[in-house]
Amino acid sequence: MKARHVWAIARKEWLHIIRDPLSVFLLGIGPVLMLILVSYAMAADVKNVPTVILDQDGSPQAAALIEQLDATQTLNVTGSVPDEGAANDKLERREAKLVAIIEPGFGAQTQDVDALASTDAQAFQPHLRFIIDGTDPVSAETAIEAALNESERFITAQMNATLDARLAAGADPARIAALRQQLQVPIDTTVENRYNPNLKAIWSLVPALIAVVLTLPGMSISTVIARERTLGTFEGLVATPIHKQAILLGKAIPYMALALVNVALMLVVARVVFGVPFRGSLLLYLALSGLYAFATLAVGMLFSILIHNSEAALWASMLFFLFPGMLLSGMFFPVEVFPFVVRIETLELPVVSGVIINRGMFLQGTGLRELWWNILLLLIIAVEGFEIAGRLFKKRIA
Amino acid sequence: MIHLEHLGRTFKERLRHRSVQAVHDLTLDIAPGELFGLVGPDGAGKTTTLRMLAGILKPTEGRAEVAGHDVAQDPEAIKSILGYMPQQFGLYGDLTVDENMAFMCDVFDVTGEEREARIRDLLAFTGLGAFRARRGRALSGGMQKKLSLAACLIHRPRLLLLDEPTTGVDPVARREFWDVLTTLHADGSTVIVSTPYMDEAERCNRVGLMYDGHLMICDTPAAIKRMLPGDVFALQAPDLNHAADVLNAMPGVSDVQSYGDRLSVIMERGSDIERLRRDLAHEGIEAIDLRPVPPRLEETFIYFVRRYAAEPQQAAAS
Repeated sequence: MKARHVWAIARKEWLHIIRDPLSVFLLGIGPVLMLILVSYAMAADVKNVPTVILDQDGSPQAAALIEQLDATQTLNVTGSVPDEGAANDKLERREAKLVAIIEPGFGAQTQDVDALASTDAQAFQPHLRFIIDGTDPVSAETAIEAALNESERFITAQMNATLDARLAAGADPARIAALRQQLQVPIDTTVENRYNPNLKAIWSLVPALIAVVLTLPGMSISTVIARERTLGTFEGLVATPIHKQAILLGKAIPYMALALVNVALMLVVARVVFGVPFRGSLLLYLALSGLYAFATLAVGMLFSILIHNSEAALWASMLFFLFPGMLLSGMFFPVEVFPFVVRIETLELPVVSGVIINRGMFLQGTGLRELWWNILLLLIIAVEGFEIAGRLFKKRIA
Repeated sequence: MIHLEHLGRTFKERLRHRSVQAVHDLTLDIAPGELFGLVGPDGAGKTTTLRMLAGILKPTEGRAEVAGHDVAQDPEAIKSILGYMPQQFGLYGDLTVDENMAFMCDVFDVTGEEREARIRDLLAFTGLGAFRARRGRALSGGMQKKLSLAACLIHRPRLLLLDEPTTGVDPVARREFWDVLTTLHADGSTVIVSTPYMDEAERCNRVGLMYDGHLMICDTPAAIKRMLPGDVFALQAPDLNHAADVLNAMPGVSDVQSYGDRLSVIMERGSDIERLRRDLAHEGIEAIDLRPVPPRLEETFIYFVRRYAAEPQQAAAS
């Protein structure tokens, strides 16, 4: 295998890509565009979530809380209901997605700072409950987060105000300080999540999506050999002395380069547009993204060699990457819920490891030590994929 | 240069559970420096044969040796000395003439100063010098064929395999193409060219006639013409269809072939032209022109093809 041959193929393949507007679109900005579109689509409703109030307390504090909830961008208080039955009706008719139930005694509770000292519980439990419609996990997650944050801020502010008043009235500063300490304890509000108990946030969606859309180059490459066959250029190509591995490697290089450019772009989009934290090592992330892209390209190349019709090859690779990618990758459903056999199969899918690596590095800051198993799987898929592709690829036309 | 022993290729048609033998028991030797023409109608097995010689199609029967290498065992060994021009345009339509040539240079390790010089010479040679920046698919059919030829000559191959290089090319371009081939042949390359055209076959050192997967005749054009077992008379008459029917029924006539405004009548050796004129007149056919002509390749081939079609086994065995 000569470097010049690999390079000749790579350059020619690059020209094929940049001279086809559809390829430029799909491979150049397709992944980033898909990431933005899908993420926005899933996070689109997270403004003005219709909220109804069931106020069983009627205190001025309850009224103040309602006002504060309505003031957030995320929530929009659309009305109040007399009882829980009416609240359920609203949920079922999709007129409300969130119900805030302010139980009797809530107002008094926010003023009763002495109760803080008497509770030896781990958390303060206010007379406040929420019911959320979980059919759309992303907006549900965001709505409930906003509701909880606001009510926690409200309660803390109320209690701090009372403590401030007492301090001004000459109370023992040490006792007030101890009570303030108690306020640090998280507030434990009951949240009843209807319809979908497993909420996933946009933060975990974006990294998973990056892994899924990064299969686009892998899908595109599944047509490269078939296309040469369809166009009739395959016959001339295989009659040349180019080593078959050089053909495969050369064809993969431009796709690999585009995948890496997309990784960098998507990293920026994730951080800037969606504010997803990145906690891992950037260098390791880029290296692993390269490995991941190579593994998907290896699988795509296998399809390209096995299926002689370019449309069929594209469909096969889409079936392999996109649907299981979306469903089994743990993007929407955690992999743990699948039966064992399905899990074994999902291990073969590079997407699953890609999602795990992306999530881990973005959100948990995991590194080699935690991810070695998925890295090993990707390595096996990449190396074996190309090895098998090389073995199955024949420089013959029939 | 080429040594074929009982070479054959069978294709399995998976859907219909039958197999088709595209090339049958082909035994042939081609010497270095020959200009060899492979002639035959569509589906005769010419392309299959050339593909096996190029090492891109594995034979199912027999042996094929090219430049001393068994192409079934070691197809890669011959590829650097080989220039193969497929029947279809085999270059990249979205690449320019220059880019296609540069790609072939890289593939065949043509580097340095040599590279630009050879590209320039070949494009001038094929008349493509003015179109270097044009994309392959924007070239006319004839220019595409010339570009394919230029591309497969970039490494000065010792063996050229050309699969119907002039099909779909206008007559002027065809003539130019053959001038190029003749020059190459004069420079010492071995050239094997398949063609459906008899005038092209005339220009070869040796010609092989393929039909239905069989190599039926293989010799120099002159020798092939002598194989025709009879004399040829050209006949012009008012109603050629009627004349053909009459002639076919006449004793001593072995074949009647129609060529536009005249018939070629192949008769037993030593037939008397005056007697034929009388017999025709007796049937009410007045010959405008009737005279003996030297046999052409076309008449010979059609004669053998018809004989094969009537009795395949006997014809193939002979």
